[in-house]
Parts: sequence; C-alpha cells; structure tokens
Amino acid sequence: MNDAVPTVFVVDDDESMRNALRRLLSSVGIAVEVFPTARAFLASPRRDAPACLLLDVRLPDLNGLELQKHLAQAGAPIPIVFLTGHGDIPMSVRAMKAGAVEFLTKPFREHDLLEAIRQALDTDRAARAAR
Amino acid sequence: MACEECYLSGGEFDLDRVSSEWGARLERALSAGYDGIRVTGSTGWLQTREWRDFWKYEATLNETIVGQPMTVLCTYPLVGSGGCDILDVTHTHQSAITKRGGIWEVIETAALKDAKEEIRKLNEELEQRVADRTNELRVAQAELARVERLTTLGEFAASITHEIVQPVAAMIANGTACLHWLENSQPNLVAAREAALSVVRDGNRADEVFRGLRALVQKAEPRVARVDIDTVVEEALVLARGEFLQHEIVVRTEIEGPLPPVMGDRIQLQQVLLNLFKNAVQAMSGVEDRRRELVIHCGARTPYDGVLITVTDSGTGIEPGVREHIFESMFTTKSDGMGMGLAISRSIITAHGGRIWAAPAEPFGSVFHIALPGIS
Repeated sequence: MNDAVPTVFVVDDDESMRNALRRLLSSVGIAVEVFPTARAFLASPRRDAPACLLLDVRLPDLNGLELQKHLAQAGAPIPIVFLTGHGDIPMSVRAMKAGAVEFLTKPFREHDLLEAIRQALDTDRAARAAR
Repeated sequence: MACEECYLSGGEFDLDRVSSEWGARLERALSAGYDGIRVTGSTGWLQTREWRDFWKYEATLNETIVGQPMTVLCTYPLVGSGGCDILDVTHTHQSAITKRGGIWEVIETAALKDAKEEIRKLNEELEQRVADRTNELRVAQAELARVERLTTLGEFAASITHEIVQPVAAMIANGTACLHWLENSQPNLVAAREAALSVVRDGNRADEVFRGLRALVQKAEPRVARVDIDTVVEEALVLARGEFLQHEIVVRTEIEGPLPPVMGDRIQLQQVLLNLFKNAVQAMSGVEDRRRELVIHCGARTPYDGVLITVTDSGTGIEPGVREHIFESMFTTKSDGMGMGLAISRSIITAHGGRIWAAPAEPFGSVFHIALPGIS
C-alpha cells in the first residue's frame, strides 16, 4: 500500500495561487489535485494512497481551521500543511495545536514547502502502516 | 409725479422742504420693507431764477444721500446750458454722464476718482487675501483628506498586504516551476512557458494593487477629469477585497449601464467608497444570524443625466437620532474613530456638485446614496 503514488491536495480559493502550487509540485514530480473550496475537496472521492493537504487558512465557505476540525471529527485524518497570506500567530498556534504538520506564510520558500510536504506524507504513511 | 408738483409745490422752490420730503419718502419705503429708493428726476422745469437755489439743493442732497439706500439720477438738457451751468452740475453730483457725438462719456470729480481708486485697491487686497486664505484652506483640506485616506488604508493594511502577498507568492512558485521545467534533462518548454505567462499575469495583478495604493497615498493636488464610475468602484474594490474576504462579507456589484461619465477626482471618489466600505465592514462585524452582504449598485440618474451609487449593507443599521449627525465632523459612534470619514466624504461629494445621504435598508442595515451630476 505504501508504494501507491502519494497525492498532495491543494485547497486555495485564489485561482492563480492554486495553479501556481499545481505547477510547482508537478514540476518536481508530485501528483497534485487542486480545489477552490473546502466543500469541493470534501465532495471529491478519496483514494487509498498516502496524501496530505495544502490548505489556505482563509477560504470563502468553510475556512481552513474549520475544515481541519471537520476532517478530524469525520474520522478522515489527513496531515495538513497550512498556508496563509499573513503571519497570523494566534491562528497558527490553533492550527498547530489541532495537529497541523506545518504553518507556512506566503510567500513561502520552495525548500520549506517541499520539506513540509515530505514530512506530512511521512506522517500519513506512518499512520496508514499503524492502521 | 410731475416735477412741478414735487419741486414747486406752493409755487416756490424750497430747498429744505424738498430735501425733507425725500427723507420722508425714503423712510416710508424702508418701513414698507423696500431696500431703498431710486429717484429719476428731470430738470426740464427749471427756470433761471430757481437755478441758484436748486444748485444749493443739489449740493446738499449730494452730501446727505451718501451712505443712504438711495440712488438718484438727475437729467439736465445739454442744449441751452451754459459752461457755468455744466460746471455746477458736475460739482454737485458724484459723477455726470453726457452724450457727445453719439457716445456716452463719464465725467468724474477728482475726489471721486481717488475714492474709486482707493476702493479698487482695497478690493484687490481683500480679494488677494481671500484667495490666499482659500488656497490655504484648500491645501489644509486636501491634507486632511489625505490623512483620512491613510487612516482608512491603515485599517485595510492587513488585507491589502494579503492582496499583494498572494500574487507575489504565486509568482515565486510559478517562477520556481518554470526553472524546474527548463533545467530538466528534457526541458518541458510548453509547461515552462505556461508558468512564465502566469508570472507576468500575477506581476500585473500585484502592480494593480500597488498603483491603487500609490495613488491613494501620494500627496497630489485634487485633479478633476472625466471619470467612469464603474472603474472607480472596481479600483476601490481591489483594495477592499481582502477586507471583505477576511470578514466573510459577500460583495455584489450591480452596474446598470451604460453609465454616463462624470467629472471628478478619481482618488477622492475612491476614498469616499473606501470609507463607506470600511463603515459597512464595521456595521456587519457583529452580525452572525444572517448573511453579511454588501451590494454596490450604480445606475444612471434619469432625468438628471448623472450617476447614482448606492452602497447597501446588512449590518446593524444606524439609529434614527444618530443618522442626522453622521456627516458632521468629529461625530463618531466608534471608540477608535476620528469621526472625520463621513464629514470628509460629504465635503468631497459636495465639491463634486453631488449629494450623499444615508437611509435604513430593508429589512436591516443601511444604504448610503451618492448622487453625482453628469458632465453636461
């Protein structure tokens, strides 16, 4: 199962940011799926493969923190790397306490993003192996 | 009335009697609510024997009517008047007008000329002083308006930062992806090109925000030009978009076009909108039980040939007793406000020949109206 191709899900309401993340991750050989809203992500079918979520904090329908809570309550754990347009410290603290892998401020460095994704996917692989 | 009746009542010209009669007429006119009297007298009745008395009368009257709400036009026949008569007339009147060769000429005494020159100088000085003060006031108002703009932008700072950070982050990510595609052992030029195009697009997007900011911040004289209101609304929304997003406010823009252009200062009009947006965000910040919604409607004002902009929020609304005062300076219901925003907005709209007012929205919230005249 751990050999399945890992996927990074991106939820960002900003179209150009969403596409930029898709391009960046594709260019380093990571499979990406992008969604404009939290609800669109929730409505998408999930495969049985390692995955992580790149999540914008500010979203129009369900915000990032609410989605994080929702996923935890629904018993569909997925490691989350938060992205935010401005360094909101209280929000990052809440996100990290709720189990986020990383909280990155835009614009982020490629290295930091890839490192956070690697860590998130490792977390997911470990969690899957333990199940 | 007939001249003879006025001047020669009792058969004789009596200087004191005629003078006091004018006084009585003036009194009557003033007590009847008139601003003063205008007298047009013909001297066709004059005979040589009355000339000396009449001359004295004219001289006296000339002195006494100074400062009175009374204008007197006396006519003398030029034909038959001797040189001395003409001198007498010019001496006993503030000025004389005569027609010679079909052209009217004004004859003034030296004293009157001096007085007029004095008045002209005083007027000039006064006008200069008024112009100086007006200019100082205008500069002060422009500076105050700029400070208010900066204050508003300060409150929007976090969300404006977001509007700049977002495209910058996308540019960095796209640029990095572009490099990866190019540096690949088998370069993917199609993907690299797509990423590079996005960098340009996002660069333009960030630039749009920068331009909007720079225009609002710079110390510029108000500049009146032909403006399209829908563009002004769009530009203001670029700066406020983040603020609305952060406060989970849904924004709807309705342009009932085509809109006639208006004459105005683009920056000042944007400032008014930003101010209304800021107030709307605050009015809706406590709203939890309904949609937080802002509707901007622009339409032509028929038959006035102008534009009517309405900004409607679903906030807490304005108390009726408060509504009459919101446009007054230093009036505020907020703990952190200067109370200048709406006062400055009103002075801006008034300077544009327009009107701004507030009304309750149905079923809740407020609606601000801005009516601007068209170019014609």
